[in-house]
Amino acid sequence: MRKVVAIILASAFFAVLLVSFSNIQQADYGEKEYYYQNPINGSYANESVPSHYISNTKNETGAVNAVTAIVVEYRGFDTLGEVTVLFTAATGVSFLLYKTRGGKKRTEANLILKEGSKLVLPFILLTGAYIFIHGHLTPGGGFPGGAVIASGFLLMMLSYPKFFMKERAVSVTESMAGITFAFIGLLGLVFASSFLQNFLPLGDAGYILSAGIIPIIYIAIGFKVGSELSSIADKLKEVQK
Amino acid sequence: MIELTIISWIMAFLVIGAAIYAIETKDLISAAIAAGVASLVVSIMFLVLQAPDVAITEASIGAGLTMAIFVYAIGRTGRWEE
Amino acid sequence: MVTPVLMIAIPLLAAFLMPLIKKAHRYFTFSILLLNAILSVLLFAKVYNDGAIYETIAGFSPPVGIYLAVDNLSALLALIINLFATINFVTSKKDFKFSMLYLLGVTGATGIVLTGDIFNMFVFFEITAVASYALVASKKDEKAVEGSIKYMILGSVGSSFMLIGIAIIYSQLKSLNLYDIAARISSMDPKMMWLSFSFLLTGIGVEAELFPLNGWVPDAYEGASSNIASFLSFGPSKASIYAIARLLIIFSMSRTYELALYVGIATLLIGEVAAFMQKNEKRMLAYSSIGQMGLILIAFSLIKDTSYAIPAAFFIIVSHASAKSSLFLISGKKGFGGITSKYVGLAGVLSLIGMPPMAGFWGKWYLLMGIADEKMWAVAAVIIFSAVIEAIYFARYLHKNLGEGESEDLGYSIPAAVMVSVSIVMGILPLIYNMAGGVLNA
Repeated sequence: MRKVVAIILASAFFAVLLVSFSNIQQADYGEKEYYYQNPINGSYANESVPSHYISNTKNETGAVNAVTAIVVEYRGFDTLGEVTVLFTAATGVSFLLYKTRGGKKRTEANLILKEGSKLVLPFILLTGAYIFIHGHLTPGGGFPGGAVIASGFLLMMLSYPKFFMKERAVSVTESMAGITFAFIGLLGLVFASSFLQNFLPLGDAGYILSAGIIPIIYIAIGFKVGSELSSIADKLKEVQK
Repeated sequence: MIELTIISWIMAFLVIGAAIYAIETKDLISAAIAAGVASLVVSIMFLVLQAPDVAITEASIGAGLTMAIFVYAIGRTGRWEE
Repeated sequence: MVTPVLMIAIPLLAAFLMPLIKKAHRYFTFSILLLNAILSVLLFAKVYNDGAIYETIAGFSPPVGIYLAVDNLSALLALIINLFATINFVTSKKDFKFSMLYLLGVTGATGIVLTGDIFNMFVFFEITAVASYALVASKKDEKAVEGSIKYMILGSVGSSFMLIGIAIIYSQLKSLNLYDIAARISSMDPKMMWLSFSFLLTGIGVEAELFPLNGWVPDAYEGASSNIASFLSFGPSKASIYAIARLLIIFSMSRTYELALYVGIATLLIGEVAAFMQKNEKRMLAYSSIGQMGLILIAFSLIKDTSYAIPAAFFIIVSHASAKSSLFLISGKKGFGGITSKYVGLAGVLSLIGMPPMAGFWGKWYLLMGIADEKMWAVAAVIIFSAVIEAIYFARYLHKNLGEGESEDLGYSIPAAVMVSVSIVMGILPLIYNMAGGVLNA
């Protein structure tokens, strides 16, 4: 009985979503007049946000990867918030989990896994670092890069039962990265006119030293996400001795 | 509209199948692995739909870390659903 | 220079800084919260004198970038949240992670009321929700964990619903800015509009304790330690009911207001009747919270019809935030042992049932005035009926507790007394009506 209800509910939900996303109308911004006055500069906005992103990203932010420009520049405040969500979750996990005695004893992994993961770890870390350092040039950025780094540490945790993250180092990295992000935002308030605004020269688009504050923020996010995710995994692992 | 090739169809059924298996199975470890498989296939779909940024994130978080965290959490509780 | 973004940026910076200064964390958090409260006073003064403030983030003008939109009501709500958070934090006795989570929860609630962008609002919802899940479980016993898990499951389903609603709006209107959406909403297909409205209402409704979505409320409030139950009743719930008010104004259609009115009435009746039937005190207070949230929603659903709606909602919010929070704060001990907690209990109950010199009176008064203007006698009857039920069970509550009790814990009852005094001050100052007048010009 419950299964039937569940199936009916799930298919109804699916149908609703299918209907809602199947007919995405292309709003014609040229023809229609919206009397919406921009409260900040008083102009009448009549511009589609996505097309603004597509046509102006390179000039306004200096980043070649438009996704990065949106994530770090246009909607940088959301990114600060999302990083904070992850930070809150990591803090909550470490606040609530407490060590209990008598976890299951885990068998040692075999030689190939142990030596192999040692061999692969530097490359995984390098890939992660590459992904977030080159966030403004190639696909990827702070979140994926940090996740790749965390999965490298996860590999070590899986193959060595006695491998633990150094708690102090992880929390210091996490804090320093978060402080860097928020502090750069405040510097934007001081040197430019608003929070998180770019105050560094944009440089030549396509080079690694370009796009102003984007690379700095993305490196901070990479370190932060990496340390947070690995600390969550580490905290969950701790019980099993 | 993006043309659905035969590979896209296979991937779509794989995702749905893995998701249903993850709900139905009583073994929670298998359920976690099935959910991981689903998100791995979804990440390939993102790549096909030309969203490489999302694909990288989904692959490393959905398929890697979430699965490991689930497995650790199951290790703290019980493996079998009643 | 007072800019609203400082009220979000400084606490975030402080929370990131916390693991480095483990020792003095309690004083540090307290001073940050105090700073935030002072900033919000200054912000309110500025908004009251110069009109609404709009602040861009990252220097891109609104439809493209994010901005904060602060009007009178949101400045007042930010003030209430930060002020009560500062007072409530005095009772915290836990380690630095608790302080961090508390600070983040308060920041998230402040962000919800200050932001002018719907996705940004979602992000702050997530922050405050995730912090609240952990805070509810911070007592670490069985009941706390049960409440936290219920809250977490419903809350995460709610967040994903909210995200789907936002995605539908973005796919149709290509905009995330609240004012921009409000201007363009008439060009949206009505079916899509209803779909996104219902997703958003369901998503936010979980946090705002609305009727079919509030299964977590009694368990979470019962399980949480008393200062966290107090935090839940002035922080996340008030911020999210304000978010619903903004949502109603965006989708300003008479049918959406009507739906909100019905949901509000159902929430009010169910909450009050359940509180009447309830034996356990903390659960009774929690159900009574549900009832009051329904009352606030009824007030907000009349925004379009009557100018009394906003002062009514504001006074009920103030009264509920101060009185219910202080009642929860002293609920750790059985009975009202000392003179301070007797004062808190009496003043809190009087404000909640709406006796004349208190803020709660003005809330119900304005609400009934507005309803009488509209000649919706059925709604008025429902409100009066619920007020009678409320008076009965609160009389029972007072009768049970005013006699003997355990000796009071002054560390809890003095902050509670300060909180409940806000209710009295706001009741004596009906001047505030002029301040809350021209709010919310969307």
